[in-house]
Amino acid sequence: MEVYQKSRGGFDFGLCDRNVKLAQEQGAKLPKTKKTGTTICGIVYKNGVVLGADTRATEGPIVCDKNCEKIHKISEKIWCCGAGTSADTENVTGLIGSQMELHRLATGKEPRVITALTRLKQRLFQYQGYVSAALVLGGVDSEGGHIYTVWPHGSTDRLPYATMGSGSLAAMAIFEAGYKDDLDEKEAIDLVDQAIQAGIWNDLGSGGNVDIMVLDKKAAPKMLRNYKKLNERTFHAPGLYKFPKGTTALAEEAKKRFASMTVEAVDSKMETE
Amino acid sequence: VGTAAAMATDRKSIPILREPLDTLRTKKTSVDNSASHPVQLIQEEHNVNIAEGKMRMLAKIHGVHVPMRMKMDQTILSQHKRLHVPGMKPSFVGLETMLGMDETIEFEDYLNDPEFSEKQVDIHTEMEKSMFPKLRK
Repeated sequence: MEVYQKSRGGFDFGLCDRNVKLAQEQGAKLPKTKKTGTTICGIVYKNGVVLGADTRATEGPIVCDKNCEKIHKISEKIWCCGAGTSADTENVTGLIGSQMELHRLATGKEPRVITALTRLKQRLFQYQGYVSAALVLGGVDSEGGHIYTVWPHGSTDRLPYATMGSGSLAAMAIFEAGYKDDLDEKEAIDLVDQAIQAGIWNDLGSGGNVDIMVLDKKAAPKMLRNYKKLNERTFHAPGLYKFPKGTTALAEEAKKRFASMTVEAVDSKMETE
Repeated sequence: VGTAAAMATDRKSIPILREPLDTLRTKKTSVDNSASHPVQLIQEEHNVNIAEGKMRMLAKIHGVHVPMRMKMDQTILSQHKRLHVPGMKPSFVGLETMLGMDETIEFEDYLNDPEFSEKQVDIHTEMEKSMFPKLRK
C-alpha cells in the first residue's frame, strides 16, 4: 500500500520550508492569493433554482479581474457559486464535477445535488479549512430544486435562499425583505439581480457585472452571463492609433521588388497514382 | 503490516527514533518527523486512516478474519516487478481494482506524475533500494 502511494504523484511540499526561511531571514512576503471578495446567492423558486454572482476578483487591494466567472458547473443541472480563494473554488468544484460525471457513468442515473454536497463537504473537512472555499451549491434533480451553503471548514446548510461572501449581508437584507414561497422565474431573477447589486454597490470586495444562472426542472439550464453590465467604462480612447504616412522615415521602398512577382491560383486537387 | 499501520496513525511531533536511521541512503542525520505543512500530513495520513478505520469496522462486524484476508490480498497485489524510475511506472491494476481507485480521478493522478519527473536516477541504486529496502541491525 505504501509502495503504491509512493508510485503516485500529488503535491510537493518542498518549497514550504524555503518559504518559512525566506520570511524569517529576508523578511520576504508571500504574494497575495487571488480572492473573490464576492457576493454570491441562490434562491429556490417554483420550478427550480436561480443562482447569482458578481464578477470581481481581487488580489489584496487591487482588482485583478473585472469580469471573472464565479458560477462553476458541477453537472448539467447542478451549478455552484464560489467565494474565497479563486484557485480553491475553481479546483474543488472541478474535482467534484469530474467525480460526479464518473459517478453518473457508473450508475447510469441523473446526479443528485445531495451527492455533490456530501462530496464537497467531506473534501473540505478533510483539509481542515486550508482549502478556503465558501460555496453556494444549487441544482435541480429528481427530488426538485435545492440550495445549499458550504463553509470552508466543511459545514453545510440547506436553505430556501442563501448568500455567501463579503457582500452576503447586503444581499441577505434584500432576500429577507423580498422572498416569498413559489416565486415565478421573472420575480426570482429580479430578486437575485437586486441582491447582487446590493452587494456590488455596498461592498468593496464585490463589483463588476451581475451573472445569473437559471436551473429549471423541465427546461435547459440558462446562463445569463453579464445579465446587467453596471460598471462600463464611459470614456475610451478611440480604437487603434492611426499614424499618418510619413511619420517614420523610410529607409528604402521595397515596392518595386514585389511588384515584379505574379501570384497564380493553383487548383489544389492532389494527383494520386 | 500491523505495526506499519500503527506508526502511520500515531505520527506525533515528538522526535522519537522509530526505525533505524539510514543516513547514507536518505541523507537525514536527525530524527525530525514534522511535516513542512499541515496539509502534507493530511495528504499522507488521511487515506491510510480511512482505510484502517474501515478495516477495524469490518473486524468488529464480521470478525477478524475478513480484514486479515483483505490485507493479505492487498499485500500480494502491492508487489511490483517494474522499477520505480522516471520513464517506467509500476502497474498496480489489481490493487487499484480492489481499492476502487480505478474509478476515481485524484490529485495524485495528474499532478507531479513520477513517470515524467526530471530527476536523474541511477538504476543500479534503485534496484538495490527495492531489493534491500530496510537497514537491518
